[in-house]
Amino acid sequence: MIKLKGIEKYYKNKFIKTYVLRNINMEIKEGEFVSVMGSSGAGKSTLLNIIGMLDVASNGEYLFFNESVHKMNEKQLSNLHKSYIGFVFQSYHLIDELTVYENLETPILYQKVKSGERKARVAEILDEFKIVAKKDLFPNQLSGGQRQLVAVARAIIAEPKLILADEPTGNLHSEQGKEIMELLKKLNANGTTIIQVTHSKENAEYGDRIIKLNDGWIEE
Amino acid sequence: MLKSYIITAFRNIKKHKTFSLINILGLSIGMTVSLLILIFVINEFSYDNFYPNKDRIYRIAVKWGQENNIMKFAGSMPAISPAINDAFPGAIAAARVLKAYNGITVERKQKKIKEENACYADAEYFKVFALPFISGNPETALAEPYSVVITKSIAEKYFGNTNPVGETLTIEGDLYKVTGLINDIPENTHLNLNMFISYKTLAAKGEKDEHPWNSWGSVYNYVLLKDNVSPQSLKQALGKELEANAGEWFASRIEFVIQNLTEIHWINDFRGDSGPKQNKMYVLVFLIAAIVILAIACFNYVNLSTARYLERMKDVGIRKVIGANRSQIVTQFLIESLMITFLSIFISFILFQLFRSSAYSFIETKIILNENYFFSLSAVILFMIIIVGFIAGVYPALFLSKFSPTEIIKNKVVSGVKHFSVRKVLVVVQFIMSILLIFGTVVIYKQIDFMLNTSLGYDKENVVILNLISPESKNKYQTLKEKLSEHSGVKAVSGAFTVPGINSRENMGVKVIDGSNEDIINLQTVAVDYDFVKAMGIKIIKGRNFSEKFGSDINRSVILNETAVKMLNINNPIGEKIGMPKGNNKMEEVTIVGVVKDFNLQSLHNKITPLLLYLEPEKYIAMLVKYDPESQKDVLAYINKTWGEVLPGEKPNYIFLEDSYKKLYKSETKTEKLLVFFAVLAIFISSLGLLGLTSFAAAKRVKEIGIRKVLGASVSNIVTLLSKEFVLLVVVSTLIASPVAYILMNKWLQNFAYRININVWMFLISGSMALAIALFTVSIIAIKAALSNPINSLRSE
Repeated sequence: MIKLKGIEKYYKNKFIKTYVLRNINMEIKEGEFVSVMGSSGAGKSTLLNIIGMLDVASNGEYLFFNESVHKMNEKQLSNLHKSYIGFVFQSYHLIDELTVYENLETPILYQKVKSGERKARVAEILDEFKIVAKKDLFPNQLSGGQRQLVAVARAIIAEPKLILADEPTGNLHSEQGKEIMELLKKLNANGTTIIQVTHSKENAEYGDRIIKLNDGWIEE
Repeated sequence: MLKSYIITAFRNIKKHKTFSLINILGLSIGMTVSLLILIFVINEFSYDNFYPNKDRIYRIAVKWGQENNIMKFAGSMPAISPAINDAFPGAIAAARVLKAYNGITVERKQKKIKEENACYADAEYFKVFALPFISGNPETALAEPYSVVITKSIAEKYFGNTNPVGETLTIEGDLYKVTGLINDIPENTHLNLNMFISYKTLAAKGEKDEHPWNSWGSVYNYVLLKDNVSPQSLKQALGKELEANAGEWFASRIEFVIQNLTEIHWINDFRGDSGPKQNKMYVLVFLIAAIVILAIACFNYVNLSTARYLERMKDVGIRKVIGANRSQIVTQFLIESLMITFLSIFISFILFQLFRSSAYSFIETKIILNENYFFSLSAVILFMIIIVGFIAGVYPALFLSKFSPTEIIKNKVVSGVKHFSVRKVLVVVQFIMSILLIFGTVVIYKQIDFMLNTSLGYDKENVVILNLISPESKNKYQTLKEKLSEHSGVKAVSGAFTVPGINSRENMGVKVIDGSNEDIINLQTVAVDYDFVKAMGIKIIKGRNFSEKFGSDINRSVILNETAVKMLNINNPIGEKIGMPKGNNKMEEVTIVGVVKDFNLQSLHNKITPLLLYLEPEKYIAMLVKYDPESQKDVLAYINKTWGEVLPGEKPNYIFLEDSYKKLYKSETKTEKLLVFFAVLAIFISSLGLLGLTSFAAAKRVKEIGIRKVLGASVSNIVTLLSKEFVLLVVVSTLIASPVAYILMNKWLQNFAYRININVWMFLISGSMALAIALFTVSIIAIKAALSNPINSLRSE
């Protein structure tokens, strides 16, 4: 599903290149659950953003379902990421002005899904995540765990093939964290590929394999 | 999708109350002003637009005189229209109109009413002005004497709902046949008429049966030209006709002016014109003011929206991550700006309805409420929603939708150099506009002050002008004068043909009779009475005033002003003889008995003209009464009483000379008031924006302020920190605005022959006023931020 060959990322600042990622080579197959670990500044989030097509590598090749992502323009990237990838963030990133229902509806609204189908899908997800009672609340009326639950629900509503989770439990109590990790595990079991970035060894264990990053290099 | 956009926009508006309030307040004010002005402008441009063939209808006016002494008249020779109908193939028809200036008395059955809007019109009138007839034949309606065409409202007044055509009306005692019925003519016309009497009636009554080429009065000539016939060719043909009929001397002094029908509303320097007039410049200034005020309000929106980028960035980022296109984000922002605009126009519309009548009566415009008005109102509102919604919304939408999601998700500080300078530029532009308006106000105020207080060569205080309007009052002038002079508080009484503030003027060509110079020199001549010089407090510098002691001053003596003496080039004017035309263009010999110091009978827009005073009781149109200020009340009461005794049933129509003089600057005084109003609005809306910007800046730097305070910064340090940038912007605005202001106002001042100089202090005043207001606004926020306890801002991290 994902092939990275010699991916590098650096920032230029007055002729000094600051490397964030160096010579990353890896392959992730469909249905895998991969955990990326590493200390702060090791380049974990940058790697995730490049995989998620929110950011572009400075060098190297990126194949997504055998398509050359590194050769695509912004619009193609945007379309690809929109239809295949869902994101979950440490700080949830729900839209504060929208209710739980509306937050869930927004991704498929942007994909121009018809109203009737939209309603059905949101209802289904609300039901699945057991948050029907919360549907008219705003994010700031929810606890952290509930918010992350909504964020995960929003990430999968467009039925992505890949979920990228950037420290999904970083702001949560261990109990709530566990709940989210179980949820991800369940999604993986249903066939969704998952890549998560995490600090916690315990959470990393949920994955099939662990990739360790150190100063931009993959630690073998 | 749209529903989601609207919900989000609505919640955003509700959530950011300060931002929304500032924008809605600014935009509502801006749009109210624009609404008032646009409706006014549309109304002004609608004059005479309803006539079919309006582009081919012209009025023939005349200019009389040579070089620097030209007078313009709206009326022209009664011979013109018949001549065009006879011999100018380029015209479809031409018709004369003579308004019945003193009204006509119309009688039918028990009713006897004075009608003010009647006229005498040629049979061709309805060929030129193709107004549809409800009843009657337009071809023949005005062909016979004692025929009259009336409008629907007149018909209803005298005939009720029955068809008046074929019936009779008694007008001024004669019996007239009603030959046509037309709809009421819309009010937005320079010819507001409701009764058309056949022109031939004048001849039948034995008046004005001639078609002179060498004289003219209040008769207007209108012509409908054929397609592709230029008004220029008509002008040439008329010039030839004039020379053939009135001689070369006369023809060389006449220039025909062919005015298009729709232009007449804008032409305001022709004597004896008809209908309300408007100054195109004035309307243009209004239009610019509307655009400026609206632009300032839009700039606030742009500035405040982009200033919120930190807040909005996150939202945009999330939306992009979960799949929004840039165009969807742009739409979201545009919907929000359209909603703000919509709310504002709603408030504007209420304000518009509230202030409409007072605003229009202040600028003395009558807005005609017909179906066109409602159409234009809706069109203007729609136009404004779209224009303002987009102008204010597009830049913020494009700017805010630009951020790439990673930058936002990572909460990286976005380099904001480019947009920040846009914001600065907009603030500078806002303040330039405000400063221009303040500066304009200052200059106009000083110029008006100068005109009202400068010495005019006469004493305008303690003089009352009594208008001699009715023929009876003119006849009883001597009696009135004698009676009024009896009061001990009255110092002098004089009749006059020209008084300041009343638009009457007579010019004559005179020449010096000593054989040295045969040139005819054009002077303004003023028919006065013996005590004119005394009543006006004019200084005699050579010779003497008119005096009854000499018994022979009427028809024999004249007084000149200094400018006239200079123009006639006489070294020893007293006793010199000059020839002036009397009666049938014959030169009569008169003697110069005195020379007065120059005085300005007109407004200071004009240079002092060469003047000749002569005694001619028949020409008086007003009486001047100079009184003792201590007995003003007594004198006025006495005038009232005496007037009633001499002219039973009449009341004196009077105005103080001082007020009559002030009236000359009515338009300037009005402009000044409006400019003050616009300046206040402009600076208010600009300050609102500044208030918003400062509070965003303060919010963004709340942590910095906290740290600085912990490190020992004083309140004034913090206020300086926050104000410095905005103060600098206002200073830059002043520097840019000053030369522009100088050029604009210097141009305005060229309208005046006597004017003030633009001084450095005027720039200083305008600039420091803007600065003071800006500083005050910024300080409100800055002081609040500086006084806040640093613990609060630092703990929040």
